[in-house]
Amino acid sequence: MLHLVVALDCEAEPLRRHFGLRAADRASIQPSKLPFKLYEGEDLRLVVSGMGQVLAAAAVAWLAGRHEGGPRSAWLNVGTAGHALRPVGEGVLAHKVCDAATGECWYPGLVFAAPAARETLLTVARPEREYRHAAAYEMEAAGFCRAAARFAPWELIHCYKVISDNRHQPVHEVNAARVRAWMADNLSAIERLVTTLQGLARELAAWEDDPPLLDWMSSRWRFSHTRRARLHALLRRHAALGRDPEALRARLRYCRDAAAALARVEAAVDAVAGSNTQRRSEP
Amino acid sequence: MIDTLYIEEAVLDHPRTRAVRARLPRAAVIPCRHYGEIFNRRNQHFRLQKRRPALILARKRDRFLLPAPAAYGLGARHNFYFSHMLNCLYDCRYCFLQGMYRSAHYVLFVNYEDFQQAIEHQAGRDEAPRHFFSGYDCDSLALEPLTGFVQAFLPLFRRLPHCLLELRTKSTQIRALLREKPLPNCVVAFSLTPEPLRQRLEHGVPPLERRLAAMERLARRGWPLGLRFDPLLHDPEHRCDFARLYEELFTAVFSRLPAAAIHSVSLGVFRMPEDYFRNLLRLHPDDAFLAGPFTGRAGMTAYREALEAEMLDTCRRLLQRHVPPDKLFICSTETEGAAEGPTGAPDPGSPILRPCPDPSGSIQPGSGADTMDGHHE
Repeated sequence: MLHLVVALDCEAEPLRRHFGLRAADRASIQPSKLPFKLYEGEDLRLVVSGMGQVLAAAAVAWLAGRHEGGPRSAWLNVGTAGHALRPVGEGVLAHKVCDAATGECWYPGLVFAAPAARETLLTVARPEREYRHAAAYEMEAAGFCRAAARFAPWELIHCYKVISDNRHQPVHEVNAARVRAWMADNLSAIERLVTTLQGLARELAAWEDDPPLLDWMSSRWRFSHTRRARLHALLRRHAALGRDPEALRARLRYCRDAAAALARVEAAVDAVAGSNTQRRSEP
Repeated sequence: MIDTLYIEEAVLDHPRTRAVRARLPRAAVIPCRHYGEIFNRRNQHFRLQKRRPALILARKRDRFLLPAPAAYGLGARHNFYFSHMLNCLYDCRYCFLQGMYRSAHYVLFVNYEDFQQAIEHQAGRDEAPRHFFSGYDCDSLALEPLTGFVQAFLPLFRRLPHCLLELRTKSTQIRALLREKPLPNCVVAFSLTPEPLRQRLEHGVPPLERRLAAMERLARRGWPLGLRFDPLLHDPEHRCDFARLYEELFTAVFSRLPAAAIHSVSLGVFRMPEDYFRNLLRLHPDDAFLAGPFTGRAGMTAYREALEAEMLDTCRRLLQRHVPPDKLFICSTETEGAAEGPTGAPDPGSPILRPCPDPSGSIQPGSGADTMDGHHE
């Protein structure tokens, strides 16, 4: 699952259309009671946070809380930024995000080929007009990163910004129509990023999945917290050793209680991993 | 291919930083205040990061030289280890680094001069032999074209003939060594495992054949070689083949290398602090090797005792066909007095080495091995 966080409707609209996202509260005939506009599609959600890093952080936290317990998600902040020299319309992927107010910095983990030029983002409270530093100025990324890091590893947290203003085309010339057009021009790079991040999130979720039979055994017998942890580890080993869970299920069927079932799983794992000493041949 | 360079602002203009940047002209350069902003920060995923590690250039600020455990060494009383680099180019499934660090990025401390000063200071205390081990938190040679480590440290040890430097590696990066005149007090120590286990568990490590060829070239040039069969590995996928795999390995190695070139041979079993091992399991829950016959002993994860003893005994007997006892060292699983790693945690990469005391028997307390550790001196 990928969560897209954008500040403005005009930034969201091309993304919504491109990815075929639909309003989360479309079935309701009442006015929306959601605190943020939320759109959903396959393996993708988009939230419109509003401007500023506080709202970006709030939107991340709200979305994470709303879908707590679901599989591991990736997070992508898409928006616009100003830069002294870069041309308007160019997309950049952040490799460093700094909060101009506090000096705190974050480093998104680039474990894939960047689909665009890489840049440092400097999150400011108000639109920047002087562009003194060699960085892209924007207003959400620091809040987004600060909040998203609570829910995902840095390799799954990224910011993609489209340059909307520079020294020659100042910020007051930016309007919704132009933003929509720049976003549309960057959809190809954003889609590559979305696909990559979705893939990484799926991989991570698979590594963190419960092993086979855990749910079945937990529903059949009552395990204490400690025993469940032990069972989890044993079933993981059983799976990692390439053993057939269905054969194990058949052997467990007549166990009377959790202790007996646990002992049988342990014996099954030992029979594979622990038999090495006996089966080893001498020189 | 390294495409991201994080550089501490304090070393942006260091000559070694400039040299590394010249070798990686296409890498994006990202300045940072302290390497800890990126390396080992919470909420990183080692396995994902290992796909595309960045290089962090930093300045080491203290603890340039760490004392090795009391019983550690290859015959000297004073033993130290140092880490000019953290993390390794390779991805060995059993490596403690992935349990110890949250980051897979490489950290290169560019201020070699401070390490050298610490070594010189230590070496200058008296004329007693001192051994310095590199390559426990990294591979000493794998990134040599970038780091220039050999080129920087060999001249120092040329001036310190009473000191010994061990370079520990799994690589074939020997060009820098071949350019230099061999140093009798620099041991190039190769960590070796049977080829099927290398293929299965040591991702990115060059094939045994290429490393043997590199070792032959070094031997021909007169470089002393160390052979490190450590850790001994017992993969469930090859569970019937342990002795055969190691016999083949030893035969391959000792048939190719001249006995005179071999400085020392060591043997050690797999052991790792339990919390590091738990981290490994979290990273690779699907790995058959990690699901193997391990057990917890005194805070360490190791093979079950009987299996471990058999593995050591089998290899020791096999090695005794090729290696004289005074060159064979057994690495015990003792943890008492273990050196601390840079994080303050016990460093399982600093094993306790004891010379093989009796070609026909196991190590006994109070054997000649005890005199090695200085307790009786």
